[in-house]
Amino acid sequence: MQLRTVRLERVRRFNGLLELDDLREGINLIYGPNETGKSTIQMAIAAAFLEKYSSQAPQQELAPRDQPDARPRVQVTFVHDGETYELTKEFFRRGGTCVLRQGSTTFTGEEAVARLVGLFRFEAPSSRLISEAQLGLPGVFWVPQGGALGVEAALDHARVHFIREIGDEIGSARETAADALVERLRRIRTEVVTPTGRGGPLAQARRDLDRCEVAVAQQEELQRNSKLLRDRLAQIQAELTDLEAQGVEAALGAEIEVIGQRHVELRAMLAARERMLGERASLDERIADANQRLSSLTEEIERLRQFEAEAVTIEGTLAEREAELERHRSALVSLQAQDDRLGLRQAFMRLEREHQASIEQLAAVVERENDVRARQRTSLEIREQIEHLSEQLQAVVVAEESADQLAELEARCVDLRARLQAVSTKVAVEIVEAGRLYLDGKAQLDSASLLLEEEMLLEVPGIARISLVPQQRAAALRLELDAAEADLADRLRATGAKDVGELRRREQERHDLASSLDGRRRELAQLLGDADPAVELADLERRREVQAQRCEAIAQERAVLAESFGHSSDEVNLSPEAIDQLHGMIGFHTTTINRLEDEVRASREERLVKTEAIRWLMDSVDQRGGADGVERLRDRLDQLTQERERVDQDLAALDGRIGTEDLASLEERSVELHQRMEHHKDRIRRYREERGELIGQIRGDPFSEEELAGVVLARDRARTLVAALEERSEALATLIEVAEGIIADVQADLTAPLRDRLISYANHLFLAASVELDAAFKPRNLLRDGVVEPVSQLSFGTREQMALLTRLGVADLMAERGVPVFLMLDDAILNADGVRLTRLKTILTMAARRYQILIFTCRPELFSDLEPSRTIDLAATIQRS
Amino acid sequence: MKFLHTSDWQAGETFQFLGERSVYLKDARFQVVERIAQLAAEERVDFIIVAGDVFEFSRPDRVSLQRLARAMSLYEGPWLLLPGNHDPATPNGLWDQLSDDAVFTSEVLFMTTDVPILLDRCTAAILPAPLQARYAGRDLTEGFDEIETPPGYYRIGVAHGAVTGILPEAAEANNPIAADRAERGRLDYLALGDWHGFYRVNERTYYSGTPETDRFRANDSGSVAFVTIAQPGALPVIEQLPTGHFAWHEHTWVLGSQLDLDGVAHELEVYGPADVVKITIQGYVDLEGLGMLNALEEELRARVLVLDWDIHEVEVIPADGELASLSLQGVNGLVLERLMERRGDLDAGVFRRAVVELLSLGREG
Repeated sequence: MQLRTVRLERVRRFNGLLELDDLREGINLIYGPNETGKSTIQMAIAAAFLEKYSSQAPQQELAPRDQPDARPRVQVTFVHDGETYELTKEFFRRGGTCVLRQGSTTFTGEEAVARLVGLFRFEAPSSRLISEAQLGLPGVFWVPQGGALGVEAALDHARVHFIREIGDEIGSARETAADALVERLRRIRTEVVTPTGRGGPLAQARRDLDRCEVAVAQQEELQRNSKLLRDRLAQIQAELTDLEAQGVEAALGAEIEVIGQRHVELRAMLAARERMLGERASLDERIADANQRLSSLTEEIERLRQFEAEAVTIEGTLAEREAELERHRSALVSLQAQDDRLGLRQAFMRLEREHQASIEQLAAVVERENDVRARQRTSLEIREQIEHLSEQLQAVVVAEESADQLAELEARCVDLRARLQAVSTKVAVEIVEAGRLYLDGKAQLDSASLLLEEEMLLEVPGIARISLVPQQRAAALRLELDAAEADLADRLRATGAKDVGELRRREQERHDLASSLDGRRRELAQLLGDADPAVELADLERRREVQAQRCEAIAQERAVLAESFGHSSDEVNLSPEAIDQLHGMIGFHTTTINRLEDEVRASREERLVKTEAIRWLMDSVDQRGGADGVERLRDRLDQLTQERERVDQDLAALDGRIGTEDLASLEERSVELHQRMEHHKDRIRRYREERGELIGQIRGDPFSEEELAGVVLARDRARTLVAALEERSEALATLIEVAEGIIADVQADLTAPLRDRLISYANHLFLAASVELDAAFKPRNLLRDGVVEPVSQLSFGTREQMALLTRLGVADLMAERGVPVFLMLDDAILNADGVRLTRLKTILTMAARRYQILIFTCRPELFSDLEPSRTIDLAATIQRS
Repeated sequence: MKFLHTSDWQAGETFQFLGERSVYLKDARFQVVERIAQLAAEERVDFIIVAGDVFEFSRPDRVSLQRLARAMSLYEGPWLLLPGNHDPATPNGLWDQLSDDAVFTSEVLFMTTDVPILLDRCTAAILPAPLQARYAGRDLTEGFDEIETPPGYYRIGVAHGAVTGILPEAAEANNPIAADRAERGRLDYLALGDWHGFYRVNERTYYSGTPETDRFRANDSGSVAFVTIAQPGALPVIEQLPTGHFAWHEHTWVLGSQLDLDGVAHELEVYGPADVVKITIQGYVDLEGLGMLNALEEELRARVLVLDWDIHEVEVIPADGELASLSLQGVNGLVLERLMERRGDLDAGVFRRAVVELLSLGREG
């Protein structure tokens, strides 16, 4: 297709007429600076083909801004497939027009629009501006400024038209049919597996199966429990049977019986043994006793003989000692007579000294007693004084208030009275006629001088009545004085004193009495101290009596002594050496006598003891038969010994019968057997109890094989249903998969032509590159040097270039199939670098051999190396218009 | 003296191999007991012997017990019930529970021990050989030889097991019974259970079979033995009386052509609501045949009581031109073509189902 001319009237900035004519095949370069109307021209061309003519939206969009009611008009002429077309659209609300002339045929209105829709492959717009989704193939071919990357959306819109054009030859109908088939299969499968309500039949069947599985598991659990119960019952029954078959109870009972009998026997034998042992012990005792008695008798006889010999010896010794004692006693008597006289004299002298000292001590005691008595008297006097003073003190009455306080009040009264007197008016009344003048109603007889302290009425009846009124100050003082005097009188009355002086005297008297009392008390305390004179006196009296008795005793003893040694004093006047010698002799004899007396006494005692022992031994030996008794005892001992030997033999025989057994071990064994018996019985009882319990449980066992079979049946049905539904679901899924495979194949076939072209362009632009498309014909991956690069991750410029190549590829395919194609590119390759730009221009030059390309640009210098078929300087064109 | 001999009621059996409609077959086990009771009442028999396997399970559901008791109540008795290998008289088991629960009337006698039961009214001594475990491992009827019964009384033995060397097919040998037991035990009649078909062992020994058929094997089941004995020692007269309601049928076909399929359809026309049918189809069918098979299954399933339909071994091979048929033109044909290519990777059932679905879509489309 070749666009020949474009005429714009009342379109945006072109208020008048703009005409681009002589557009040619190949590349047409339309350039101009910004805001010269390049975009307006493209928009107008697009509107001519695509927009609804009788609609307000395109009219408003195209009309000059200052002429909203203008009727924009666009006319394009183009040649396609040998036919020349002239399309004129005037846009105006509901009154626009559209005329399409194809050769000699003219189409108008909607018929013309329908022809355009069919010719250019887009969707007719509604009353609004054409939307992106309606752009169809023109959306791919016409690239507004900055809109290169919009190829993906454009392809979405153009997809249907694209597939329609190329589908027939590669079976695109299959894709549609497969799509429909997949849709139906999915719908059917949805009835089986997709959740609707509670999840569809398969989900429901699976839930039912799960429930059935749970029910089966529950029943199987019951079955296991039931089996456990029965197994346990069988086990217990077997145990019981075994136990009963073993006859444990009978065997244990028999053994217990045997043990019991043996126990009785052993007890009897042990008792007999005890008796024998007792008997033997008794015999032993009796033998020992006999032996002892024999030994004792023999010993006593021997000792009797020995004692008798000793007694003779003792008698001899005693006689010797008694003789010697007598000699010493005679010598001592003589010596002691001499010493006694010497001793009495010395004793008298000592008593004399003691008597004198005793008299002195008695005198001291008497003196001390007198002293105490004097103190006692003084203290009594002082106590009497104290009592007297206390009575006096109590007699002196004093008031609560002191004399000083009342004296102060009295002085105040005196002061008040003086002040009253000073302020009172002195009234001199001279009585001329007695009884004529009345003062306060009382007849006055004598003249008087009155002090005016209060109201007075002087009246001379029938002549005058004079009211005297004192000064206010005097009245006040009178009141104050009266109050003070009354107070003083009251307080004095309370003290009981006539006046203040008396009260003061009383206070002085009381003070004096108190001082005297304190002095006496201190004196008494000082005199007595802590001691009580009465007690001290009693003690002294006792001591005086004791001392007096002692004096008396000493005096008597002295008198006795004085009387006893009334002999010659020559005898007693020995020298000290002689006295010492005398005393030595006396001591020697005394000592010897004492020793001899002890020895004699000892000998006598020994003799007495021996005599007594001999007598006792003789009695004892006589009582036990004497020498015959010894013989009898020996015979008895022989008998006892024989008897003991017999008992020993019996005991040995019994021990042989008893053996090693003892009662304790038998009892232990018996206890053990009884315990085993109890344990056995307990075990059986427990088994029986458990058996009873198990039987009860088995009777109440809820398990039913039939119910289990029922739930298994239900489970199997559920499984069958699930399997059938799963089989159907899988079958449908398989069909869907197969159909989708067909769709994928068709899509691969559909994308192949575009991919081939894109690869051709990519090889030009990127050198040795390949491209992969998705099902929507969009470039998905760019393959360079064996590296797969997702297009979405390429740079902006490269993506822009890929988008342009895609548009070129679609344009190639459509142009080949007779679709009217011309490209409008508004600065669509400005982001390419120098090399890419050069290659892109080469690619555009190649493409322009197949269809017309309008390049709008504000930078014509970039395209200076191009050889466009037509170059339009838009600014100049506008100026010419 | 006349009595009914029956066995193998298997009350409570669930027939789980037959799918959801097996519940009808379970019900039938109780309904046939009602018919036996009615028959006994009509014939005024002296008693009914049930020779084992009264219950399918040794621990049946209580509802089943109640239903059975209700069904049996149409004949007042005596009923003589023998434990079998399915319901052995284990200690503290089913029979003890039945005795405790008093679900059945006193005229229902449980032969749980080998103690003879004397029916004085008809001068019959019933000698039971109850199984007290699933497998006895020995001939429990041996005791019959030694047991003495009152003079002039009929001697009727009852046992459950396999007569040694007599049954046409190898039966379980766990509970063997001597073939000449009737003679050795001086029995007038030996009533046996365990074999589900009616079978004459000898002139005095019979298997009654199950009164309601419960399997596809053709073994002359679905009846009871009506026994008449003129006097003790006389030969019994046995009459086989039908009691079953449902007929069981089993067929296997190998398909190879459309004609075969028509033949199958024709043969199946005879079955109705009292039939339990098991169909196994093998071979191959084309697409049309597969459609017919599906239609036939649907129709037959609606017609008979229970249908066990097995076409797992059927191979689908489209006939020439089928893929080009109207219903498979366009993408459906392409899908089928690709499905056929992948059939080796697919489960046979999934493949067949996918083909059926596709054909169904084609028909709808």
